[in-house]
Amino acid sequence: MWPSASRITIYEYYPGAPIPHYCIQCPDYPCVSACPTKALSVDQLTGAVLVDPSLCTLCLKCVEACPGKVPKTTRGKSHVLICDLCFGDPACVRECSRVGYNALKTVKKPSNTGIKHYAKPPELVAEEFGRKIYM
Amino acid sequence: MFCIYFLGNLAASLGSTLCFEVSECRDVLAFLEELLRSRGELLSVDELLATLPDGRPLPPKATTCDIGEIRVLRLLKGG
Amino acid sequence: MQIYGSWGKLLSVDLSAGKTSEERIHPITYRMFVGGRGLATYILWRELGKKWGSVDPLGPENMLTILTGPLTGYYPGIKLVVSGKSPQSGGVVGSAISSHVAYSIKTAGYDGIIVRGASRDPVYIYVRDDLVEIRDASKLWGLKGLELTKSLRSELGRDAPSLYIGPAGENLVRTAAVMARWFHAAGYGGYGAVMGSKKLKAIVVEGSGPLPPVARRDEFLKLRYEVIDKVAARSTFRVWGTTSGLWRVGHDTSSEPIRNWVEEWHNREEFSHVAIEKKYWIKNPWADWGCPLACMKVSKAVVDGVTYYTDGPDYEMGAYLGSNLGLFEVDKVIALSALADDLGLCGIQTGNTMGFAVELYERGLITREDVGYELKWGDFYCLKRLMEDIAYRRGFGGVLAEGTYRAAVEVAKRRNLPSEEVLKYAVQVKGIGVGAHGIRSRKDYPQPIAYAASVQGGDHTSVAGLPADSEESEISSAFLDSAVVCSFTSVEEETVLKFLNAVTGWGVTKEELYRTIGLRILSLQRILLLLGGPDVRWDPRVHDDNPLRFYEPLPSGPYTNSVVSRDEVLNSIAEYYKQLGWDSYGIPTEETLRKLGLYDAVDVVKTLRRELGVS
Ligand code: SF4
Ligand code: SF4
Ligand code: SF4
Ligand code: SF4
Repeated sequence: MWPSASRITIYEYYPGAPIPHYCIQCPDYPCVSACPTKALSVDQLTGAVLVDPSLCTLCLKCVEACPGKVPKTTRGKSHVLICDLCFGDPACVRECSRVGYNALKTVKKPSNTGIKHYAKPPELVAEEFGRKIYM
Repeated sequence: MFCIYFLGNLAASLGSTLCFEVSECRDVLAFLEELLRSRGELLSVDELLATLPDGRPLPPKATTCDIGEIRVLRLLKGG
Repeated sequence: MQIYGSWGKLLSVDLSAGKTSEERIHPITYRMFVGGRGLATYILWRELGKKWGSVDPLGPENMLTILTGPLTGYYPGIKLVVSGKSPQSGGVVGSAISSHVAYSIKTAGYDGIIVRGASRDPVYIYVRDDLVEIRDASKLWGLKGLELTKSLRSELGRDAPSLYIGPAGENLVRTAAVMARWFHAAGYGGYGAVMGSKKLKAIVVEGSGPLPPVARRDEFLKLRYEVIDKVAARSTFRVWGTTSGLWRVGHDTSSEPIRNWVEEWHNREEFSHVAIEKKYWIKNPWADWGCPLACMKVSKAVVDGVTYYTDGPDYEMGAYLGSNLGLFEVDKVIALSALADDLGLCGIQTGNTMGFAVELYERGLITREDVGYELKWGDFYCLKRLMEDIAYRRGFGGVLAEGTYRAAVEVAKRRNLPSEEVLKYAVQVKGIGVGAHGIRSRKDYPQPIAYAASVQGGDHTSVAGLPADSEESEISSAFLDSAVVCSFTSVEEETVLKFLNAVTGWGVTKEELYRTIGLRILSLQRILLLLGGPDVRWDPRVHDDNPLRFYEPLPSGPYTNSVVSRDEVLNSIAEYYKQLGWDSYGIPTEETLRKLGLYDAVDVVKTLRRELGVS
């Protein structure tokens, strides 16, 4: 098991306010267009961003372009990590349902462009969240 | 014959061995729960651990016909 | 030699020298002591055993050990074990705490952290994989939990797992805890004060590698789901956590401390768990990393315009900062629990001492002149003030900051009384306040010898019991604390053992656990406890006993007059020791020590017998 290589990360800035952080598949995929080596592509079936490990140079241009600063790096991996939706059968959702938390669900991708609002760096979400509950 | 071996304080208040003639096949945990209620023990089966006499886990959905004896102790030490 | 489940490597930090290094632990040592509490006991024994009696727990000679076990990160639920020479018992207490630091230590490539020496100025330890730094903490010193976690985050630029102390630890309060994630505490043992004595404010660990390899992967995965399914089915626990016991234990089973244990039963019925959930919980369930059970709940209460956050209140806090203080108002218990968290106090030990103080006040053994204000059962304002005085060692708080046992001895001295006259109101065993599960009604889990014969004194998570080769025995807790498994996610020992074997590749049997491994850990802990020192020394003939209060018949409730007899207790202790292969004083026999491979303990034990005058 390798927690820091997980493509979904849970932050917690305030007690009891977990912030799951992962790729939301922006309609316009700014990360893909930002990648100078064409290491990123979109899976036609799932809409997920796929990383070609052999092309990725870890220049982190995609992180810069991503509104949520989602692509991850970790020791021992020579490429960025982005959720690939497990090619349509998300392991995280399976695990979450198995223990009965049901916090994660697979849904159809909405067609509007509004979902981009969900891609936010965790500190920002925390701040908004914190302002609502903890102030 | 279906026998229950209690450990620790459960044995002190219920006796270390209780045996029953059971005419029908009953779910082991439901049987245990009923017994505790009837003896005035305010415990839920969640707080207990029931195993086979040698400590192995009970098979899922075990009934009083499949197994002749269980051992029961308090699971949670803490809280 | 290949090792699975652990790295065979600890991070060692010497704060006196300002140096860090790596320390190898031999695979055979893991096989002998497993990890966590067992490994801590071994390391402390090896390094300080010869001079144990003279080591000041709050001096630079003491060590602070932060250890994981082979099951950390693998077994669902997460804990690590904090240890060292305890400033409460003078022995070794394995103090388990849920913390994300547990898995991050492992993913940083270590099995644990050993801190030696003491810094002159406040520092914190920062670990990011192989990068280890001792950093200045002068700006963090003095901060309470909530402020500290915020400051650490802005200093680091992100959310990173940490262990830390509050003002109580800094002020060397013996009931101070090592804290994590706002509300989690390693309370038993008083290791917050040990961290404080080292001027160590926090330990931050970020690890980005994988967990160490597993010996039998397929079997491990199968077992993992088996355990997850079992644990996820504990629905009462999922929904209510230990809050379910809040005041129910007193009401139903007459085993909850009420006003310093004068009673263990109450007839309050006005509280309701549903109301607690609706009114105070802002997050339920709340889980620790990788936990399929999620017994935690985050609560929020406003008292006098001040907002307080804590978990639960969990059962122990509801008991020790509620009923034990005569307080049955949920919002105020939440406030006291939040305050204890923020100040970095162990709510159990501190609540034990506070209840003791209120009783002394009631009996006139201490007065307004000593305390500076009136102490009253159920009076939130004086209780809050008292707690703060303890954390900052203000006034009489300085006496109570020494914990119940030492405070009793001090009060007796001030009153010119024999110490027994005050100690009879101290509900503690060997310097450790008894957890909130009484023995008099026998309707709760601890047996009459649970605390009297425990190597961790009053610790309700490490209780002694007969038969010595069953889960009722303290060996069972020693095992869980060494493999490091959360006791709420543990299942049948058989399965936990299988799990351990699948991860480590060992073939530990139940027989080996009880006859060898567990007994080895327990025997060493027992020896170190009896070596004690420097300010406390326990005599088995005197101190292997219950607090006197437990010999008073219960005065109220459905189990009125229920009592345990000292004869029964002493007989059961003798039987328990015999089954363990210890002599009648609870000292491991030479034969037992040799069988356990503890050859270097043979002479130490001879000296110990001579000193006690029992050969
Ligand atoms: S880090 Fe890799 S994927 Fe991201 S932009 Fe650079 S090359 Fe492309
Ligand atoms: S969230 Fe980030 S990584 Fe995902 S598609 Fe949008 S830009 Fe790319
Ligand atoms: S869908 Fe798969 S890759 Fe994406 S976060 Fe979940 S488990 Fe990870
Ligand atoms: S059961 Fe509770 S204490 Fe144990 S790891 Fe899970 S959430 Fe934490």
